[in-house]
Amino acid sequence: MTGRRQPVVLLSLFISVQVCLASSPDRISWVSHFAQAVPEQAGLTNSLQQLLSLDDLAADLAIVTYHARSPQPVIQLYRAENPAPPRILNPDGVLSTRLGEGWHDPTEKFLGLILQPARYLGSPAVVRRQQRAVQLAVNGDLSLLREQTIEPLTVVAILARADRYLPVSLRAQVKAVILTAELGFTEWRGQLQFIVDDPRQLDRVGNTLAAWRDLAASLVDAYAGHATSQRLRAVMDATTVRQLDDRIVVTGTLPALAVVRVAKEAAGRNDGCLPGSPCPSDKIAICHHESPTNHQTLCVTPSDVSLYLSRGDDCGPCRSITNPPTAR
Amino acid sequence: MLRYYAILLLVVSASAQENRLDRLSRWLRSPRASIRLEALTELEDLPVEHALPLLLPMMTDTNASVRSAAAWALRRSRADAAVAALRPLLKDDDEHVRAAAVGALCHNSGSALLSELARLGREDVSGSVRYRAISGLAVIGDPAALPVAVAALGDYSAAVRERAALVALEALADATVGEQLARQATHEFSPTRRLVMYLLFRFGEPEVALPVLTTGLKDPEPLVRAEAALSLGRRHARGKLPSVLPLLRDDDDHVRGVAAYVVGELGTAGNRETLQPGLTDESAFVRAATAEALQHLGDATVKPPDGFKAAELFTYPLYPAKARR
Repeated sequence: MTGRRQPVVLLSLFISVQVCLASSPDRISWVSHFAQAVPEQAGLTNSLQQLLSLDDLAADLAIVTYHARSPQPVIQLYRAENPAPPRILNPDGVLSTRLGEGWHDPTEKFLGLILQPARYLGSPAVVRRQQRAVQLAVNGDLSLLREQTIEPLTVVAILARADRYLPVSLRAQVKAVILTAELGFTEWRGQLQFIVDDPRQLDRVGNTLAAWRDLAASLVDAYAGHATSQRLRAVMDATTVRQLDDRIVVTGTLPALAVVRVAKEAAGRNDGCLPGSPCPSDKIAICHHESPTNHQTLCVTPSDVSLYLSRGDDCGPCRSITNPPTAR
Repeated sequence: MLRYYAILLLVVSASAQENRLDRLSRWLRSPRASIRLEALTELEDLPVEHALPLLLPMMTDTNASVRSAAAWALRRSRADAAVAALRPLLKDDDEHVRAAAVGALCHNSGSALLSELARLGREDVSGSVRYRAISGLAVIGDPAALPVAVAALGDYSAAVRERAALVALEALADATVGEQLARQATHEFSPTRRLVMYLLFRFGEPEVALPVLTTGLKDPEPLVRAEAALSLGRRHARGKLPSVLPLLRDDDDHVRGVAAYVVGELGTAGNRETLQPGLTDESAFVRAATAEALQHLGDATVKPPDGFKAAELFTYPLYPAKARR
């Protein structure tokens, strides 16, 4: 057995065990996609086995990050909440208008997914660093994330049940989307794989994806400043779309500074503290931590939100509400 | 003959304008909201005194997008009727309508509605409305609104705190701004303290700013300590270097890396020995920042990783878009 194949075999073994444990084969899909995406990473298999519980396999979106030289993976798991999160996009806003009806609903669902608190798995110190970097990145400050890219940071994101988050034109054909990226200090290189159910649909999916570049260019013009949009347009022109086995692969490279500028320009539109349900429309829901085991949803005024957050409370209603929301 | 042609031209032009207004008036009564929105877009091209009578009835349109577009269009008119028509929209159920009304009133009402706009900037449940109200203080330009802008640094929304409040601060800052910022340096919300540390690089006399920044180096929140150190570096406060040096041994790797960078900016060759342990730090960022600082202080034996520039990392906050280094 070659050293290169060993991790794949170990991971396959792990997957087989999970297949036996899981009631539905669908539940293991993100792990099996991960194994295919990074077959060369020894050590990661063992780390994953130690970190994951059966319930974690049902995540809608899994993001695994690690440094190739010292793979201490951090896993972020996102699950679609029920009921659906509150409206995020303005249906009459520029973004919705540019996206069109076909994209509005899946984009809303995807934003709802990634704006929920993620479950983090990994070594506590590394997880803390990652959580802080991600939280700042959401608010447009990529500095701590870029500090982690001095040695290239590998990111693998797997959207296992992609049909919920794709427009109708692709929903029936694409079963999963996988992003593998290497984030360096000056350059972010990435590859998006759209895994297609029926090989006869590959051409159609490829053509649709190629057309998306025009949509992306239009969004860049709407959201980024002139200098940034010029650079991003050049990047999009250099993006390749090709067919590989059962998937369409889109490959591209972004200058890290362009990402920083776009993040700053796009950030702060929504900080996850949304008004309304389950609170009245003039109040914001806060999950107040009375104690580590007693959390209660409070409805507070906007000017009080920062004080609650500073005391360790979270935006949004508590995930399992045992007490009815209380007005403060 | 020339006079005849000039009169004819005026008559033709007035008639064309009348026809256009007539057509837009019909469009604004269309049952389709998209047609009404199209008409509002076209009204932007007309002199506001002609557009005003058509815009006023649109404040009660059933469609929120139409009300929002009409409210924003009224920003061009300083007529009492325009201000009076906009005020009820400050209580509209739709946040985008409220935001448009706030934005318009900041343009056309002067200081008359300052207290009402300040209240919305503090209390409206929508971040978009608070953003418009606070950034609009810069448009109004009344120095009396400076405390409102400073208070907005405590908003939980990064956009309001780091962009709208900073736009307002830049327009309204006076000699008292340093002291007002210093009072916010003990705010309970750590993102606000971090922002104050950043702002004390740009605002405030040294005798006010430097003691606050030095205290900030001991803040319990690492991001505040790091920002305080960066501001001391940006102010070239060489006298404060001894207060920065302990941060080279901070528990937090971000703080250690920033401290190394600041020592590189403020220090001399005599500080090279103090930086040496950073070259073997567990964090790649600390190692890179230390190597760059040592190189800056004249050590030719070390070299940061290719392409690494610590200054490129310090792009906080959201506004201004470009770091002022």
